Amino acid sequence: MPTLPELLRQLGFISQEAALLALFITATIILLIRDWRASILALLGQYIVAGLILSRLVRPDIAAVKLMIGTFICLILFLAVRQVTIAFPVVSLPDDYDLPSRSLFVNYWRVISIKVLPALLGQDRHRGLPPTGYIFRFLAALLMMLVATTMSRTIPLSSLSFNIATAVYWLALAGLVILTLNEDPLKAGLGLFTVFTGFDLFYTTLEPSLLLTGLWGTANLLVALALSYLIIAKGATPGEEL
Amino acid sequence: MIPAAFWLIALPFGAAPVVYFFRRVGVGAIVAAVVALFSAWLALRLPVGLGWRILGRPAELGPLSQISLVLLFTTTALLFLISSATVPFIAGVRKKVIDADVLTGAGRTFYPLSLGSLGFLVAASLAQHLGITAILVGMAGIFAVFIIQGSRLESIRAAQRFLILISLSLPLFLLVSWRIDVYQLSGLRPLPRSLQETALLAGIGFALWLAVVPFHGWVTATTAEASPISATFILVVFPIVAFLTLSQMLIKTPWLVQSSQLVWGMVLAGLVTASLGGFLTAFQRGFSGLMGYSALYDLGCTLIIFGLGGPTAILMGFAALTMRALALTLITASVSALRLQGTADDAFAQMAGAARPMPLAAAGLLGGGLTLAGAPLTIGFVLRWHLLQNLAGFEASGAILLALAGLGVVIGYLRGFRALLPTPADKRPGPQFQEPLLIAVFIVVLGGVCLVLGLFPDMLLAPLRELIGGMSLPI
Repeated sequence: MPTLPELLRQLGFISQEAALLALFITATIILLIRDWRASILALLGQYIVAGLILSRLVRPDIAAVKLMIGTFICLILFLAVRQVTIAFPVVSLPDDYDLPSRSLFVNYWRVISIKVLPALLGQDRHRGLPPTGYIFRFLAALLMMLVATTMSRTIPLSSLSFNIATAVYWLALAGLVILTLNEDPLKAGLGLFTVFTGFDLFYTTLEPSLLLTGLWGTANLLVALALSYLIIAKGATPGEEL
Repeated sequence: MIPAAFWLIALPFGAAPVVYFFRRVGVGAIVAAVVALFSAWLALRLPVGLGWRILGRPAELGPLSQISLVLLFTTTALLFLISSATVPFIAGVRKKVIDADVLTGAGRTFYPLSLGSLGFLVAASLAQHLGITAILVGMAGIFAVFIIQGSRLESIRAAQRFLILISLSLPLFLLVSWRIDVYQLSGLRPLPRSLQETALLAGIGFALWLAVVPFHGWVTATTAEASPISATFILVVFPIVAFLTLSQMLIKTPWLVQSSQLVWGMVLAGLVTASLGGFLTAFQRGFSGLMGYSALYDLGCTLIIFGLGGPTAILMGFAALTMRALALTLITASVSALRLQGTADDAFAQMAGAARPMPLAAAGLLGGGLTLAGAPLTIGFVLRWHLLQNLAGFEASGAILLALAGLGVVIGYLRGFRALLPTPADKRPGPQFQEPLLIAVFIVVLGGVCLVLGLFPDMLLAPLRELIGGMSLPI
């Protein structure tokens, strides 16, 4: 069975352009999609692509460790949201919801609009309604792609190629936009980790100290733990004890 | 051989599990306070200047670290004692009426978590490498998230903001640290563009740590949502370590000061923060808001002191941090006592007439606020007057703006004090309680210290001067 560094090496056929495109897609998914499963999966994909890029820039075992840390972060966030959704599987109908007084069509439509659509889009009570529309967020993503591409030309990052510099700027900018547009702890956390992934792509190639790299990874994991605590605190009801 | 300064890190970490075990009984708070006080004594007694290594990187208990650690430990011990003084009162007298966690708000895990956070902050204060310091402060911040949130479920805004802003500062500091390492190892002078970039990264990082406008959200949210004791812990200990790190960075990398933008940026950021904090304090309608915005005003003032530099910048900066710790602890003791009147909401309207049963708490609140504002007869006046004189020499309009902001803080606290005064129509429902004896003692002692130091400022400045020696910022 191949080890993780070997696995990363075997994926060497994926070009930098393809990796950059994948990062464009994953961060855009996190920015656009409200569903928590899709968002966490996109973050995991982001960590895998970042690990792949890093495996060509630094020692493969360091890239593998980064990938493992990312996987653990996704797992921590997944378990936290899962805990909340299992304990409170709510998209409850309002108290004044009065089915018998409406026509059949209106009733079906209300059930779909109140229960089914929010569930698909992830707009349950644990995350609330998004403050901005999809079009706005998509345009914001496009704008950030443009800014990232421009920045990587005007402010090149030492020792990094154009594609990877674009990836660094893109992840940092997209993460900041996600942070700005979301109050929900999960989405804000995904934004924060998107920023961190971009920073990792740059910093890991610069810093030779294993101690700092290790401490940075530990800090990432601790941030994920603190965020999971906040996710659970937000999802819990007054009867619960933290 | 284990260096003596190592015990300053080990003591809080070692005591945290013991305190956690006893968290449900009063012993936990007492043990935590004793450990913090002993650590403060130890920090004062240990010889300075002895180098050692922490995680393979240089560490040292320097004069500035020593002052910071004494401040950190003493303030934390006082907060533990204040918290422990209110809990028996609630448990004994009003057990069925009010949940202790709602009033003192700190929650049972406050003591062990604070010790854990303190352990990281002590390690950060001793570490001489900016990257390690930043990560350790980040870890302390992660512990602080649990302290801010406590056992509340209503809102996570404060804890989330704090976590995100502290976390966002980490990449910036790591990049600055890498650049500093590269320059120091190569022995080359940084190019002007590189210098500006490094200064910009460091500036944004410190702006996040020091709640400079527009990154001030975590300060006001923390005072609004967390208990007064938890909020004061966060508002006192993190800025102390932030200013210590800033001083050490400027002293060790004097070339960074060649970036004129950094110095201008520090003064301007401090002025904007102090002005916003001061003016908004005047319009607050609750005591938590007063505390948050006046703390913001004070942070801005201290940042200006460091930004203006000069031979006395370090002395006056650390004196300002001491004053901040004193004033905020006094305000916390007073607000904690006032909240025992039975309302979890500390809006002025809810506390109307509370000065009748709790005159000391009302006076303590006003005294603490006036000290932060820099009113005459308090230690704050000496420091603010010195700051205004220095700032007037740099930018006269800035000094006027800062004085007006200080006036805003005075107005805010006078409004709060007025709301506490009993009116003829005041008929508060239910029983009225006096301050618990220990809290009253704390308020009298802390208020007295603010006044005595105001009358005889050398009692604070002389020992600080002796500890600091000839150290000065290269600004």
